[in-house]
Amino acid sequence: MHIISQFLILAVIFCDFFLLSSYSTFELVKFAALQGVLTALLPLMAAEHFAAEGIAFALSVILLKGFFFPFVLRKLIVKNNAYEEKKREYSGALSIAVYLFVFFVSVWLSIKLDLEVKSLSWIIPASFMTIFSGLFLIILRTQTVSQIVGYMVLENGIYCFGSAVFVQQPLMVEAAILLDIFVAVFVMGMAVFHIGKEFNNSDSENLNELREETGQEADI
Amino acid sequence: MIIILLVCVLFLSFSFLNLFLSSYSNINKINSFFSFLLSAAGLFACAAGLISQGSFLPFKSQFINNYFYFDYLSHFFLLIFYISLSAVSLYSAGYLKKTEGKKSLNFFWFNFYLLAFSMQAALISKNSVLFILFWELMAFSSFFLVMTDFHKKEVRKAGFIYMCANGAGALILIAAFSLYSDSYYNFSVSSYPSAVFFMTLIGFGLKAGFIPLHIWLPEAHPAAPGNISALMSGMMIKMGIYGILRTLSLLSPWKESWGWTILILGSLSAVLGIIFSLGQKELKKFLAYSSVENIGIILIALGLAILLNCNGYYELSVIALFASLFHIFNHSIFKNLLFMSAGAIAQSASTLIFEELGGLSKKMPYTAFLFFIGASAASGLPLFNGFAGEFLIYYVSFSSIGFKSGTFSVFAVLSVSLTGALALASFAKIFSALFHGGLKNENHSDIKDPSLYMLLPMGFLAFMSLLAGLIPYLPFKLLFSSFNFAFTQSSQWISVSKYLLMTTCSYCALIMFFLAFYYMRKRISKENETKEGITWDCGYGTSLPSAKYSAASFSQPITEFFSFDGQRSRSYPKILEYFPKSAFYSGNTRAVFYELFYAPAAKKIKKAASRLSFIQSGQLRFYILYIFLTLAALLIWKI
Amino acid sequence: MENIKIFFQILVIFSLAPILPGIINRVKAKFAGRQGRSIFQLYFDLYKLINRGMVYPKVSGIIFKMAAPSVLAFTAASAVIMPFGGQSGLLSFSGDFLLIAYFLAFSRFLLILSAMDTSSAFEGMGASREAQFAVFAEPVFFMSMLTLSRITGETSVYGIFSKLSPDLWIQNAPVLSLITGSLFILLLCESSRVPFDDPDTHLELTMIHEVMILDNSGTDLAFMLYASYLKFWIYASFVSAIILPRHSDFFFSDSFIYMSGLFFTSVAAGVTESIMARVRLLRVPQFLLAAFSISVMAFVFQAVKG
Repeated sequence: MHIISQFLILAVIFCDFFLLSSYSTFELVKFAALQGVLTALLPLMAAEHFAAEGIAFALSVILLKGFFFPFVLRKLIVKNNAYEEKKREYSGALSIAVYLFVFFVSVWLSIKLDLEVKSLSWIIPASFMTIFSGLFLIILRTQTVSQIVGYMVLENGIYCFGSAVFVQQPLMVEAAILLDIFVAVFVMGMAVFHIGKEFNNSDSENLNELREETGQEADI
Repeated sequence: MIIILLVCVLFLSFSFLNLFLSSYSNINKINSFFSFLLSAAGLFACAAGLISQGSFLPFKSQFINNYFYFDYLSHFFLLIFYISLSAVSLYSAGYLKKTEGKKSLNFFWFNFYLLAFSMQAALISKNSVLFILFWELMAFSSFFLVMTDFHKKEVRKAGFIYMCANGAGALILIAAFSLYSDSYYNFSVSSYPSAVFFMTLIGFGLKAGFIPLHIWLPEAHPAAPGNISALMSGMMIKMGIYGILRTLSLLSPWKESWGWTILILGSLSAVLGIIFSLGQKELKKFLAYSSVENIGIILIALGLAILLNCNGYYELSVIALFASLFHIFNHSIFKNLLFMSAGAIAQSASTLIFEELGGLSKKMPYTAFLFFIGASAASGLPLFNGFAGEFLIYYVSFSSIGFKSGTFSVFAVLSVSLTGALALASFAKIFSALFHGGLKNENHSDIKDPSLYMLLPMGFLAFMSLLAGLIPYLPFKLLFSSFNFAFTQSSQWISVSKYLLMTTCSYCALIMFFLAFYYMRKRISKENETKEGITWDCGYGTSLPSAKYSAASFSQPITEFFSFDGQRSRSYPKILEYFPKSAFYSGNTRAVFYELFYAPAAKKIKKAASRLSFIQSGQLRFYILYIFLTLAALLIWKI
Repeated sequence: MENIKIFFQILVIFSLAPILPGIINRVKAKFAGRQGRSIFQLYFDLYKLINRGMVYPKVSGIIFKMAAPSVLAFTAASAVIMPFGGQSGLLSFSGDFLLIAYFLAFSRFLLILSAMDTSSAFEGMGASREAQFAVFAEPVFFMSMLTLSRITGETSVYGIFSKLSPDLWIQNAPVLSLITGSLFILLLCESSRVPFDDPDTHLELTMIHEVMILDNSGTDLAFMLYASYLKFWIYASFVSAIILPRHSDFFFSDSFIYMSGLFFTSVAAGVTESIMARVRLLRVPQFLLAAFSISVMAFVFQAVKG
């Protein structure tokens, strides 16, 4: 069990790598879903005994993060023709540098925090890495679908962190996070649908048009 | 010891003698032979002093002891100096032959002897005033030597930058020396160790040439004549390292921040130096940047030594110090060899630009062979001496990787391995650009190998490189056992010696394999015929020498990856037709530090300083006013 | 007894080296639905080539003529340093993996020079790409060696291999699996396999190693090909020693485990070749940098833990 959970954490870290370096939104959705499924399996593998409610909860998370969200996002992508990033802000080698930087920062943070963790010591850096990867996805991408995926990855990281740190009442915390994600994706999905209807594509650069022109007085 | 002093004085006297001789036609040969004999004498004295036991006795005369050092450090650097000087002296006999009739070489030889004298004297002086005197003498004589071809514009620019670097370095050194001399102005313990360390690092760094203080190197080396660039790169740069080592030996205890500074500066110099050298179009500039890279490796080893010392691993720290010194020794040997070969090519083909040369191996086979040895040594490949120093660095890093504070070893290993791979690429590029394929330029069909005066020292250096590479235990023991005889009994020394001997065993296995395969091939191919044909080239059929991959194309994948302004400095052709008649490509690698930092800074300082030019009004009455004001201020201060 | 074991090892290495690429070819064929060549086919090819005469290009010099035996000599010298099964190689000392890495680097240097010596644009292209890959591949090797050295506390290849054991795996599973991943990618890069180079095609866009030996013929070509097989063996034994560390002290069972590790590595390489396409040449540095970051992560995992 212990070894399987260590490999799961490794797989989560690898998903971060692919998330940071890929430009195709389909791939992003795929890896975010994979990461969600892996983080759902983590508390199962690390627990000493299998409780029925734990298994049920994990199954529901897998259904939500692994099937429902990707389905919704894929429909959005196809509708808005948002298959890949239009602007390559940074090259492939630079994405690896960003990845290593995120890795070092999360390891350093986890050393500084020095939390008491049950049995797996690598879960804290992995969750920080996922949180930062999600943040970087939101900041560095222009496609709104990529930004939604970034938000999902961020929540993945928080979920991971929660399952590591909260010993009592873990299910409560996890359920709260899950509700948070569900509502957020719902709202963001609707927003992207409307943006797409207005501009015929879901590039967030379009929102630059809503900016005030410099030199013009604002109408009050 | 007394021989060394005698040699010094003789050099000094010969320099002035040269000024008064009329220009004979034989002056070149006479001078080179004298220089060679003197430096050979110094070499023997030094080597004998280094190898024999208990040799660093203080001098009988107390006067000499007060002002001169004769310890291990001076002996070691004097040894390297004499090796370089003897090789370059003999080489000059052949190299300057072309200019013998054309212009007088008196001034050249005056400066040459002066340079030699000042380097030796600086290496043995204990007194800071004497040291600065000899340091400035070295700067001034080498400046004139660099400006031998002063009618060319780029030589003048190179001389100017060189002079600025020298002047800045000397000023900082004077300031640093004032902090750590005793009442007799001898070097002694200081009360501000960190300040002294960083100031001497910058001051000596301007001479050693690590990044970011390296800007004069790529200008001065191509501008100077071949034998002078060999001497400069082989020895003068090491004077900077000598200064840093001498300072470190006087300041104790060492601090960790010093070690980290030197390690990071060394890693930057090593990696950036070789990256810059990849994009160069001219041979000597390439070799200058390669010197920057090797200085970086020397500094990496030195930084490792300091860090290990601070963490308490004294034995490993000494081995790291030996690695640094060993690389200094090896570098001076193969860099001299490379610059001498460059001089030979410049003399025969009168150009050193890669695009204009090509296919020289058929016409200059000896030079090609010796250059191959130099290039393999410079890439740090086994069987040649560049590898032995790097082996020691790796050994120290891997032994200290398990320590708690062992993160510095990771830096060292990654930098050295990256530069090793990049050096391999760059030397493969220049060797194939210069020597492989057919003769590219028809003007070069009458070039031939250089004269024996030039080939002999090159051959000697190549032989030493091969020997030190094949049996690294030999120079390791000879050079370093006199550092501290008690250390030779320690476990680290014994294990390192054992591992060096094992590398020699592997080389033996390698050579046996090579002979086996070679003879196997010979026997098998006796029954079958071996023909000569044209290059297949995927069926193209007419192999032109210009179809060979040029130097720029060879290094293009790597330089493209590391360049940050690819669009601005390269112009690609736009090919719009199916059978294009001709196309033009140009690429340029700029000297990043010079163009982005030093030149704009110099411009701004000049502009700001010119605002004060009103002080120099040209009228005598204002100058008298200034004198009066100064006297008044002094009077008020004293009252 | 020891000398007989070492002699046996060297014999096995030199005689079995061409089987591993044969296994890869067979796996690729099976994936494609074909019967494929037999795994012993490369022996017949080498035999055919050795007995042929050689043709040298007229513009080439002595480097081209001396390249083939030298390249093979360097590769063979590194191969005898590699440990075999649970035994040490012919020579084992602290820092011997440096000799392995740098002997192979020297053989690469000579290969590049001999390719440029033919004054052919194709070979020059392959030479320049080979130089570029080496720049990114060397730090991967050294980083993995650093991590292995830190885990096992040893500085020679034999020492490292002998300290690897299933217990070490249980304690350090993530680190060792990451190292295996990066060393496997390094294996694919150094032996010029997909996704870095396609050893089957002879088109200019996919050749890196094959194109550098385009003008070698006859015995020379046999030497060069054999050297590339030995190189594959060397890097595959790194992977094999990590994934199947030795169990007992009995020579024959250790050797059997080691060779089955080599077999699995070859099969894995064959599967990778069948699944993946060659990566775009401009993306190869990124791929190698990914391998580098894997080994950096492994090192940090190890360093923070202990």
